[in-house]
Amino acid sequence: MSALAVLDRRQFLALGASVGFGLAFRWGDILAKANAPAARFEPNAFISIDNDGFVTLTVHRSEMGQGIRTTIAMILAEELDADWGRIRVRQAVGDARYGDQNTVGDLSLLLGWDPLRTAAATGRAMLIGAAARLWSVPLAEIETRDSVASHAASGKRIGYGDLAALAMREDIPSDAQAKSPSSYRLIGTARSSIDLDALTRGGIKYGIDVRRERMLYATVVRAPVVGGRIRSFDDSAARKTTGYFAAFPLEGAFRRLGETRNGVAIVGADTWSCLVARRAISIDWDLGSLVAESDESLGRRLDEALAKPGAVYRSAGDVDEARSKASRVMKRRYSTPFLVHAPLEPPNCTADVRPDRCEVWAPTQDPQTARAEIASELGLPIASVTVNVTFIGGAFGRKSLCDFVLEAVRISRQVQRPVKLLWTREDDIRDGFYKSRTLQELEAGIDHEGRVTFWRHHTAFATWNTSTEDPASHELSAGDMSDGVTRFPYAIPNLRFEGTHVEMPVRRSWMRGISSFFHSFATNSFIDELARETGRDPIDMRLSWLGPLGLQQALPTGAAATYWLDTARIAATIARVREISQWNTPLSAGRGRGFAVERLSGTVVATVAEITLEEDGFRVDRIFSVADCGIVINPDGARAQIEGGTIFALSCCLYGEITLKDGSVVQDNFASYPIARMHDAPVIVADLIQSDRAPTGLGEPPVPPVAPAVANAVAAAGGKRLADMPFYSRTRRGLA
Amino acid sequence: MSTIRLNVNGTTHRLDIPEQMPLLWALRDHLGLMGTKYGCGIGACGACTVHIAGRAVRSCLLPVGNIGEQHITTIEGLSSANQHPVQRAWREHRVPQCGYCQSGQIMTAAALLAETPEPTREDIRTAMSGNLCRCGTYSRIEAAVASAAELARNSDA
Repeated sequence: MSALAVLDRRQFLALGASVGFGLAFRWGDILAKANAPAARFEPNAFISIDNDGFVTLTVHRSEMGQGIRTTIAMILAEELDADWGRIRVRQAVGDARYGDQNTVGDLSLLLGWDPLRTAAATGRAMLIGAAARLWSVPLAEIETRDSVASHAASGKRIGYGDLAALAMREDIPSDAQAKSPSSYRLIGTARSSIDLDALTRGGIKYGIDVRRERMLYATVVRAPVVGGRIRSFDDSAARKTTGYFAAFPLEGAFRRLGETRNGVAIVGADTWSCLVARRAISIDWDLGSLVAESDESLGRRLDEALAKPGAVYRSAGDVDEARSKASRVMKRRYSTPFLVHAPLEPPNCTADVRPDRCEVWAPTQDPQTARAEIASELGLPIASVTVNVTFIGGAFGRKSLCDFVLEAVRISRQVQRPVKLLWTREDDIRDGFYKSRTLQELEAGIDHEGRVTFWRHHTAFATWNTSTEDPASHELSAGDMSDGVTRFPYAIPNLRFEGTHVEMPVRRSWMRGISSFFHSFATNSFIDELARETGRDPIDMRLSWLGPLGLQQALPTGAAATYWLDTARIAATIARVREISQWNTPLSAGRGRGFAVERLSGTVVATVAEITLEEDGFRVDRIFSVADCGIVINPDGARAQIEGGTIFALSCCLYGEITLKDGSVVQDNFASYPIARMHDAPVIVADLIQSDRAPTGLGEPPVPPVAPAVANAVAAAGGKRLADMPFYSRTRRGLA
Repeated sequence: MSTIRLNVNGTTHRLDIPEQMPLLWALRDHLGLMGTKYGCGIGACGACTVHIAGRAVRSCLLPVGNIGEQHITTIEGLSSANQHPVQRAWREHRVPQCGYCQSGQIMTAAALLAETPEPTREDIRTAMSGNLCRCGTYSRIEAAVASAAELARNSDA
């Protein structure tokens, strides 16, 4: 490649960081484009083909490291038969024309698989129609591959770029057929991220990297306690700060999903001036009634919740009768603390509010909600609000809530300038949306032959719903209770699943692994205890509990077909991890293996952990995880999700703990809220089941089985039963 | 306020900023070098790692007034065309997920290899344990650092 071409490739890539990204670049393409009249084939919101031959694919879901830009581009390129080396990817703004954009809960593939395939197959059908018309040959004789349509009998070929103008004139078919998996060329091949080049040279533009003309910077000092109010504040000392601009009260925003705390916004010429001024501002707080809350008061409420029967969310048979007939009854409690997402890029947003419009640049998982909330906040028509979705430096659910976007909008409106609001790490950890603290009780009866006759699971926690407007925010929903509880897949004759909502003085929300994280921990740990109690192999016991293998009835929650329970898939996934982990080979003294399995978002993950007991605790040596997520779009990306989900789970179960004192969160940064580091990282062996079923996600599912597999491995090694997270005490690696 | 001279990626810049301003914010807000990231502000996560005179340093804690004439290298200046052995190895192993921590990871790895061209597994794990990755790419980072050491040796030979 010539020096000129290298230079221009870099310029193009730099441009790509903000508007999308091309994989390949040819100097000639740009010249051709400059000399040719514009013609663009754009059959729907996801595809456009310019007459330069480049195919532009629009990604409507947010990229936060899960590789969705590459995954969606692969699906579209596959069905379009586009040349993978000549695509551009454009990140969609928040707009209902794309359908659902809230990038949470593995929904990208559950919701997107059919619409995306159909959109691209429709485009391909029109290109084929145009080529058939051009050459006067039957449609069935046209083949497409690598952005070229060809006719074998006559040897004719035409590139998509040259077909674009003709394809525009074709009718849009309503019945375009997606390919059968056996004809895939791209799906199922290991692909690098389409953004890999920029990712290794600091070239990705995250929300925090946005800069606008005349932009000011902002930070907010928020009340230390939910419900706290400002009596008064004094910024006279802060005014001496170089670059100081203004400070003013900021009322709590975002009542619909989780109100921000009241605070004082500080605006300056750069980030440092805001941080310096922040230390110089004194605020007199009325802390409100929640200042009386603490770990102890919350612990009492959780105990009280379990002392009474909870609301029943699913039941079968008669648990009370089975209890009276059991020869042994086992009862255990498991607890998990508050956890916080702590994405490495903290919440931030750049907002530019004008009298008649508003534009924001945000690392948001949910741009449509952000757009609607901004329109409502400013009293603007939704069409006057633009939400640009930047790359996201980690999210894990935190950035599906757009409280930080609304704060930035309010600050920009106040100062009438573009403003970049940054939450410091301390802000992020002290005022997050936490995964609820939980206390769970599990109970089972064993008959004289060692069979488990009943299963009762009572879970006490706070619903995710932290709306200050919705009365349902004071009870557990069916969704709160489904993952790891009512979706229990085992055929035990007598079952009861109870739940009790417990009020908690902090916001909660979804976090990677969702409620399955703590429920699956309790369920998989208790099964392991029952297996030990009855002298059975914990994997054999689960397999026998699955009952007849095959598609069983739909479970009580979740109407989507993918939520049907297929016990054959669970059994096959378990069998694979048993094999690759060499489950049945003995380990030396002081080492142990533990097993757990969970089905979440339609994906089954079975995990074996291998640990070594150490003088002051234990070390996680290896994690084997096998996933059945249906068709695997990008095997390398899929394995990366399993690897990452495993480390995320280890951070949570080994170290993660948010505590409360005087109504405030005690932890404030990575020193007090540690996350796993390389020296904690085990060898991770990730494997995928081959399948031709519709694909399901891999963001959440690898997370839940890790903690119970580790706890079960520690028990198998002769260590104590770990029923309370975090497993490591604050002095690393000592058993808590 | 004073005029601060900073030698960044081979260019000398004069900035009217306070001496106490951490280098991180001078790079990002005043020089537009956005590859260096904020993650914690207390030197605990490594996202802000740059090289000062070739050594890995946390820029979030380093006041610009303390740097003097020493050469500062950021991710943007690590190589001319994204071709440092560490960057090549990072692509070969497809390390990044969200990528936010990766500038810091790459700068830490590059400094390690400059000082220890043949690191053991323990050297790698010790040197890299100061850099957090919330996406959990540690196993690929570890493998990529080992590959980068090999790439560097082969290109020297």
